Amino acid sequence: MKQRLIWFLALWTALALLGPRLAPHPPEKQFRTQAAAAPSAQFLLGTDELGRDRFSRLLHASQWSLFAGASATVLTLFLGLALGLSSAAGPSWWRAALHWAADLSLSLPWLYLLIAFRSFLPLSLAPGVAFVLIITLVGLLGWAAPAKFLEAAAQESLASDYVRASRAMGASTFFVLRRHVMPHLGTVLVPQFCLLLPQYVLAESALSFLGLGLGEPTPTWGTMLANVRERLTVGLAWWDLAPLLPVAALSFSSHWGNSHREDKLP
Amino acid sequence: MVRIFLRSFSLLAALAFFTFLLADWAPGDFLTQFEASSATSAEASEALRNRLALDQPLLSRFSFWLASWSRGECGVSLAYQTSVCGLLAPRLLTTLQLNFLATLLAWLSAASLAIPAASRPKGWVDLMLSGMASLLLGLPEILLALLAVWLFGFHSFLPYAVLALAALPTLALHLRASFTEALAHPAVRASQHYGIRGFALWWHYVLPLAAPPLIALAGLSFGGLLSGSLLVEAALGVPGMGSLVLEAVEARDTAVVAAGVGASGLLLMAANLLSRAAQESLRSRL
Repeated sequence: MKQRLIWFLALWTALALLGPRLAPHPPEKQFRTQAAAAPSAQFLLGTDELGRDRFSRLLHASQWSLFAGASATVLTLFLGLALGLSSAAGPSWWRAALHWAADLSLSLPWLYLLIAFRSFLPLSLAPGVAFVLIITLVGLLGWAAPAKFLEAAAQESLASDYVRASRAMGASTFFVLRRHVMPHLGTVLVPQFCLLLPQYVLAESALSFLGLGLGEPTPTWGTMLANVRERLTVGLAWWDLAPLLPVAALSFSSHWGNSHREDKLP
Repeated sequence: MVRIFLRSFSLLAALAFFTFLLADWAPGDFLTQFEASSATSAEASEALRNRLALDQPLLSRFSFWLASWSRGECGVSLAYQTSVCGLLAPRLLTTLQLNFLATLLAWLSAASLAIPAASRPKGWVDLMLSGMASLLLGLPEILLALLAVWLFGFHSFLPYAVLALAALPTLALHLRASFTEALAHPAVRASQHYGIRGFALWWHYVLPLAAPPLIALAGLSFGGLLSGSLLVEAALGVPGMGSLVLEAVEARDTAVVAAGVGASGLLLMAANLLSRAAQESLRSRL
């Protein structure tokens, strides 16, 4: 069953790394005479209203969106690991404080929270700055669920006999965590990553979709979806809906990859 | 119960406080965009800033904000020049109505699929439910909203349908799982052998057994629903709380952002409290 997760990771890593190399045109290049063209051999998915090749833009957007989602997920897992471990092994007041903060951030609709924190930053940013800030924001805000999850896993392994034996031989808490608890958590982290990745990619897409993330001309899945929304009233052909496809494929394949486990609520 | 309530309230207060502080720390204020877009003189904008009390230090603005909360105004909106409560109330009502009706729709359609699916495993309803669920799980709210508008054009019913469809797969799968488990329970099997069938069986035996996890699910799924509702409101142009908060973020209208995020937290906590109370009362009766 683990195989499915490996397939999931391999497929999307390949798309993120190779996608831009496969793009037939530069993403920002405008073919002015062929704006809003239908799919053809030159433009596989047609062009947008500015005459940019949609297929190339989609490949570049995949790299941006997947890289943003993956970095935010790694950040969250690191934070969750640090807080979860320190909560499992730390003093009780620290555990109580962490649980209070986790309850606060879990008891909120994540998108409202994301927007509230986004309002802390200037609205229009340079693409590179916006990219880093959004990764940080999404990654920092999602800490609570993985932290709780990892805390539970760490507590389970701290209560085991081999940890007690190790302690009896004089091992320090840090040694126990590094040597006995951490290897045990690896099997938890990979499925968590695959589960969180589409959520975080979606969070970035949602922010860009609402005009609070990376703006034009940087292609991301979110900005391309926002473009679809703006032009919905104009009347769109089916190939104009192409940006919906990779977003759906990512959520779909994540559910497929994790489907051997009983699906709990996100 | 009282302890849970106090805990929720302290969380909420902390939330509104942090939101106000964060939104206020942000570079630029309400007038920055106004200055950039219109040719006002520096003195005029300075006078306006003075009148709106934007030149006061953070702490005094914060205490002003708190004082207005104690008067029941929840702060003053800079963009609309009215109390935030008056601004938020109708928007909140729209969002609540949208979410309530969409939830009702989702639960009814999930139940009408899950009941026949659980009573006849591997039957055609069961297969249809599985197929639909795996299809819809890959379609988040944004995609559903865009697809719906593309297919049907803007229609007043669309926001309800999109939100309900987004909630449907998780609900239907959970309902089917709890029903299947309840149907296998000895009490249900025994009553079936006594000849109890149909509505009486479901109402008196299956539902009470299946209810507790479902009530917990209802409380938990509200947060996702509210976030999805924000996206749907923005995509389909519903004048709800989500679109109000979005406008306020773009206009740097601090008090509205803080009150909107606070209200969303309040709704979520209310939903959690309700579901917990329902679980308690159910447990005491069983």
